[in-house]
Amino acid sequence: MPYGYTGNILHVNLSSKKHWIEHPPENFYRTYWGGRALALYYMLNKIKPHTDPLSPDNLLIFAPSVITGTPAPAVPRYTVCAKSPLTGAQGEAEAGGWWGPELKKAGFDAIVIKGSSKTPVYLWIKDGQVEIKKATHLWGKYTGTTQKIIKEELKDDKVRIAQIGQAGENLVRFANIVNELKHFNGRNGLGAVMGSKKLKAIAVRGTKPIELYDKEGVSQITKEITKRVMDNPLSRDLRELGTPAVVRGLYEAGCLPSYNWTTGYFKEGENLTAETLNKTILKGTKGCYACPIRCKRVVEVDEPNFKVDPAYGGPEYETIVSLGSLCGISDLKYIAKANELCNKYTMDTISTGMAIAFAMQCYEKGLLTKKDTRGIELTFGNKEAVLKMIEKIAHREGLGDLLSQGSYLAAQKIGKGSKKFIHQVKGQEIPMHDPRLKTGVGLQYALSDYGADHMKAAHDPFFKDKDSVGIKEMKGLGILEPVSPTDIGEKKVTLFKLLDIYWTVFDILGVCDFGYVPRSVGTMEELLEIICAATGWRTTWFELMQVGERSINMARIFNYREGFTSKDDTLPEVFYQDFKGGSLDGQGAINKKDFKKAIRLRYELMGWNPDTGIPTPAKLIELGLDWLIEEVSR
Amino acid sequence: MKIIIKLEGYLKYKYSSNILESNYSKPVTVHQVLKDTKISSADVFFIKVGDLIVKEDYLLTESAEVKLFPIIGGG
Repeated sequence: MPYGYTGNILHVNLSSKKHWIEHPPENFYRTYWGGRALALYYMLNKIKPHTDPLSPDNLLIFAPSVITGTPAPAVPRYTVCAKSPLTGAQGEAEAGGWWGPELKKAGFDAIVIKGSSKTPVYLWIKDGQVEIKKATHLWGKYTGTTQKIIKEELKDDKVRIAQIGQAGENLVRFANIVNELKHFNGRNGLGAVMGSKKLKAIAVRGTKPIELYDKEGVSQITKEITKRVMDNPLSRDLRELGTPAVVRGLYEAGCLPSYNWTTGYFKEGENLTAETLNKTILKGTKGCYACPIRCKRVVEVDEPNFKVDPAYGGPEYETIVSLGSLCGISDLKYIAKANELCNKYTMDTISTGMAIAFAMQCYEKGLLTKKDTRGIELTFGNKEAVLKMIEKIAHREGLGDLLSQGSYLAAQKIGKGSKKFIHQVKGQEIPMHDPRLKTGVGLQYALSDYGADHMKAAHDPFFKDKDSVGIKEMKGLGILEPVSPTDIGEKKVTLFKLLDIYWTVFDILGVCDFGYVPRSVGTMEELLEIICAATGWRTTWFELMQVGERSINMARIFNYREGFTSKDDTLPEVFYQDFKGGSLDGQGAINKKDFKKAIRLRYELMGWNPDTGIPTPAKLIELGLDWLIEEVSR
Repeated sequence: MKIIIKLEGYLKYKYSSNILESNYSKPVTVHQVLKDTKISSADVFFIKVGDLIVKEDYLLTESAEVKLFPIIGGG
């Protein structure tokens, strides 16, 4: 009898409307564990190279892990994977909330979806039973409306629903997937894949607890970590200010991404801080399954002619910047509205903000005109214009249709040198953390298999000093020496090789980085204890790091098959230039030659060909991926 | 001279105060001020004096407000 996991993987073919349940052996779970690792197994085996991401042949995979759904703190996350319509690469996004644990309780470790329905449908999964239900009446509805209708028709308010809004239906290439209206598989356009399959939602409900190897053991560890999390200053900051806490430091230092990355200086930055948000529009806080931190913001505006619905949560740091300073906007009310619209339509707020900021710069430089915008004065700081553009992108109208393809494809169509105003890696717009201050984050942007992402490793400042939490608490990985956040030498490359794999393990296991070292107080040893108590597996960090590394190599090969090369492991040009304006004016440029050298060293440390970045056969054998050697031998 | 340390973000919880004060009779480095107030460098990402971002070896020669910003991670 399996513990921690169910032993059931649900396969659904939406073309034939059939489903079946696979029961992989224990060694399968011990090799792939869940999340992206498990998903990549199916992607490499079932998705043919060069498959159109929006065709029925693409897979859409929902995967929690072998420990998701246990009561251990901050382990609520699950992964969605598919070939990305935004990047054409391996697509992946993790979400918190309650849906992943509920899927486990409903009896499944993952759902692998292929095919495409002719008419809109939703999946209803309850205690091992699966039903494909009509969703024609839900198509075109806001996420809030859809959730309400599904709960009513299933006559169960405890149903957890992952779903898409109109952006997903309309195949916006950065549409995302939401559960409980405010927890997102945010990046890579996976909502468009769901839309292409005419799959509006997946409703799950489980009434049976997950079988645990040592229930008392899990309970004991949970109590210990929870107590320390509650006392931890960083956790308290997250609880009181949420991720927007980051805004103040960055704006005061002059490195808050602003005006489409043309400067880090944003004069009205005070208006965007977490403290201002708390004083003006905060209504409350929310958390994820079994999490004591409650970092999620809930905001509300209730004015006669301007309302923001608290049902859709509130803006994170990324959203405040991407739909705020990046577009020259300093009014939190409007940013909250923009966030609400993106959430109703299910659009990634980072890519949305980046696409609009790009269009604003094109407009101000004369590359787009009022004719292109159909009368919208698309200048930086025009907050009404941002709201209008979100509507147009979601419905793919006019310029919105062009931007719905992502800024990379939009720049190709606009031409006229507009390419220099986009900031992306592998076609995905960069998040709101500046690598000039954290070069390890830059390495991760460049090397990420699914395009630029800020959640690919712990950030550099946690390793800056001998007393830093990363140095004190992660010696078990061989991390012994501090490295400056702006260093880009050998020590940094070595550190971030380890952090990349470590963070990938978090993604695979569904661990929230706000709960464990270096960002919080759950230790590496306690994570092993949780796994053992949940599954009965006496694992080690050696085994877990191999699992993480295995998935990185699998993703690398998936992308290689799709035509990605070492040339795609780059940073946007803006980061090779100094900051402009503010306290850091004239400083900060990353040395391009040093950065390229760092990438090459990273390839070598990973056991990849230093010229091509392709995994060597020996590395694949080491990781038990000999079945992929043929892919790299072509 | 009076040096006012303003603690931002989680630093105010860790060091149980928003503001700390120290008095010095001669110029002092930010590093020494941190040491005297028992604030760990490991917790500090940016140091701001007036409009300037400075390093710990910055010499304070007159009364000043020193803002300390905590380390910033992803999320």
